[in-house]
Amino acid sequence: MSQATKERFLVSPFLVFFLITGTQVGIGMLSFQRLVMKEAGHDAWIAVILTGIIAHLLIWVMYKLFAHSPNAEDIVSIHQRYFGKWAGFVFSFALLVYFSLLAFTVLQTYIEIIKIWMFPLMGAWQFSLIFLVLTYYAVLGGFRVVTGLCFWSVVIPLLTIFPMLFFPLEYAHYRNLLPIFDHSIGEIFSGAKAMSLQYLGMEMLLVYYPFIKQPEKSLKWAQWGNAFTTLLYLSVMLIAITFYNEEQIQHITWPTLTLAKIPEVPFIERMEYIIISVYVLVVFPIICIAVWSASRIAKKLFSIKQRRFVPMVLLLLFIGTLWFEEKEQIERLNKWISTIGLYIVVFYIPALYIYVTAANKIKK
Amino acid sequence: MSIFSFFKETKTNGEEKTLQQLLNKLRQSSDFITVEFAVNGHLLAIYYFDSLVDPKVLQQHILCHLQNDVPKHPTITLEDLQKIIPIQRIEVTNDVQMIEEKILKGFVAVQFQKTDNRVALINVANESLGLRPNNDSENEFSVVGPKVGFVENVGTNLHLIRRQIATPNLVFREMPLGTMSKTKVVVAYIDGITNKQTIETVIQRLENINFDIIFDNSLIDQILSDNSNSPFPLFISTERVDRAIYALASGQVVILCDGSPYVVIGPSTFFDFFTSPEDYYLPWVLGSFFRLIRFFGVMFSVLASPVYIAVLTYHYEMIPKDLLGPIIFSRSNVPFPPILEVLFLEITIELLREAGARLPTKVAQTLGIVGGIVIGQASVEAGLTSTIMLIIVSLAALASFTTPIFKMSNTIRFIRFPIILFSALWGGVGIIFAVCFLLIHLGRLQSFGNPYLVPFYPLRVRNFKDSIIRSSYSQTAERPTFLRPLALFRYNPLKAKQKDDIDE
Repeated sequence: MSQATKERFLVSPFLVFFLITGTQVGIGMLSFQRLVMKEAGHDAWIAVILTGIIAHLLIWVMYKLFAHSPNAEDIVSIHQRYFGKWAGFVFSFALLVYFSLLAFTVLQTYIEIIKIWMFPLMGAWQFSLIFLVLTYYAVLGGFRVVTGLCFWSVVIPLLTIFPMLFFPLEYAHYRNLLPIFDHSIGEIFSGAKAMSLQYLGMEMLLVYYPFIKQPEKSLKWAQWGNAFTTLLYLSVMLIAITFYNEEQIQHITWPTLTLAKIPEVPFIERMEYIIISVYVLVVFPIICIAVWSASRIAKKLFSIKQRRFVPMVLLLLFIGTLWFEEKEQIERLNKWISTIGLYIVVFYIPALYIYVTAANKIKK
Repeated sequence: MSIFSFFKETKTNGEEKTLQQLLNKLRQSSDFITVEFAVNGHLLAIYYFDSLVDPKVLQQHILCHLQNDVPKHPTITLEDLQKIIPIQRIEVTNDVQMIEEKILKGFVAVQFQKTDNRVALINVANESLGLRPNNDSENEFSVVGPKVGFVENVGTNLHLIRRQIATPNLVFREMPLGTMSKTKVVVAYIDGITNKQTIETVIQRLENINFDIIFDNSLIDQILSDNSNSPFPLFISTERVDRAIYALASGQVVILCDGSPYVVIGPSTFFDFFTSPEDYYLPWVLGSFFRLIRFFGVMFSVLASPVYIAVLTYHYEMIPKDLLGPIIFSRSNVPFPPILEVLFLEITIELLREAGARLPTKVAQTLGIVGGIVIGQASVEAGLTSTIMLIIVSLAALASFTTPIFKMSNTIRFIRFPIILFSALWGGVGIIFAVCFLLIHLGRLQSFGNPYLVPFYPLRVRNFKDSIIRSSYSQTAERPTFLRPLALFRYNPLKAKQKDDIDE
């Protein structure tokens, strides 16, 4: 079943940097400060670093998991080998559903933001349609094209959005950061738990791992990617802590967007419109990779062509967006899917790794 | 016989089996000449197309020698003609197909006996008749640097290339293309530099071409293209000799085609289309600066009017208080939404350009002034458009003309319209949707199997030295690695980099 993936479909190891960062940084970047600061207050930045370190460990575990097999494999093959045909099928299928739902949640949440900030009267279906058509076009281009999108999704927002966020430092109160370690370890850890949702997305590595040229060499780049994500979150968090006070931030739904209202230049103001627009580029690769991963799993499970499966998923997503209209539903979905993701990344992957290691030992 | 038999391959070989049948067929044209005369027991016959041969060469080098020298050699055969006729590469053959081809390309066929099926083919084609002798490369003008351009005659073009690359490794591979035109197409590359696989791809694709008449190299360009549905040109076509030579030296393949003053260069990348040979003739700081200006021009040209539409239609909160006054002032008389305003002006400019291109140069200049100034001014005064819009659209048009390669500047003017439409529908989000679409599209494109967006994606940091900026020559000793050249260095990098200590 595992045919060697042809060389020209593979991506260079260092592109894993963009794949990891591109999939980790998403909608959450606009609102994560509130949730983390609720738990850890002005020490939230410690929680960010802590979560970053845990994510480093988890990435290492993922690479270790793959190191057990001689050829580059994806999670489906590992499931099949260690759990047998049926149990393996169930686990892989669960991942397929998870990735599809992930794509759906990201899409739905972003459309919600567009509706609230920009076009309150416009139907959600328009955006979801154009998004899904674009996704179709990108995913049919193959993994290389999707990776290319990831690359742009890191570079372009970094050049356009990121500098904007530094303007509010003009009004920053650096004393907000003091006193450091004002919160207990428990509080910081629950902040880290809230933060961990922002690192989700890296689990898609489980599927695209065999599409990396010399995958074992890409560990370094994956770690750099994760470090870069941490750096982004950390700087945005620090800006938010120094700009807002602790009470105020609990009443702001999207603190990052509100930050962008501050900068003013002679020819333009209200930069949050630029951020929301450019955020298409941030969100879009996540949807693409999630749909690609789902279709890749489907290809291996049902031996259905990806070309066929992708339109089916996209159609389901489209019908889904017609269905979900209320904000509460979306919130609930968001919470639900991020909890699942958290369990997959933090509990399932290490457990799988321990199981695989043990199974290998027993065999010997 | 089915009605579709027309589409089946007709056997042209089967029709004219013998030389006599071929000659009878050719005689239908009045410019096909048969000269027969008896010399020394040989009944000589000469066949040629009067319209293709050079009469001077024919008289001085063929007729003269045949009449004077043949009597001196009583036992002369066709093979001995090379001894008495001072023209290179005389071929003797009885292959009717070949005789037909050669006669149609301006060769003279000499026959010794009427019954003999063999003829000697002598090249007296008038290569340059009716073609311009030189080209000042006015379509890709540069102030500094040579102004030699390619011409319609492929022989001259090969000469222009060979003159500057004095290495035995420069290879010209000739292949006739076009079932009816039998156009001479030449693939040029430098052996030992150009990647073997690239050459193979090019040759193979050229061999697969099935077309009747090759009018111009741009036909080959389109047929060879990896994706024929893309508005983006995948190969550079240039009339500048220096550009073609630079491409050869960096490991690209150049395709020349008889009858076309443009050569096709591949594999090319998106960024190749924005480099001008002049960048290399100026100091690197200036060259880089103008290149950056060009990139900015492209971005501005593509995004300026969409952003204007998006901001004025949906995101008017983004306009600061001080800027609001002038915008209100200029738009207060305009009854249309911004999208109509933009479309009106954009289409006016496209019309002006198109009309200017179709008219004789002198008339076109007048038209430019009338159209540009009078219509622009009048439409503002009539309240059809606002002044700010007029400025933005004309600047965008101006910026799109900075692209050195004509094909790319056309593409840039074209892709503006879908983006305008997207921005009118979904504002800023729409613009980014369109940009996303462009990025995916560009990411999917390939030029002879090479990624189009290199060195950005796949990222090749080393090749940035000569992409957005043009680094100093001490930095650019390496050939672009994405072309996978067989030899990496163009010149010795150590010598170029050597620096003496201060005051020494």
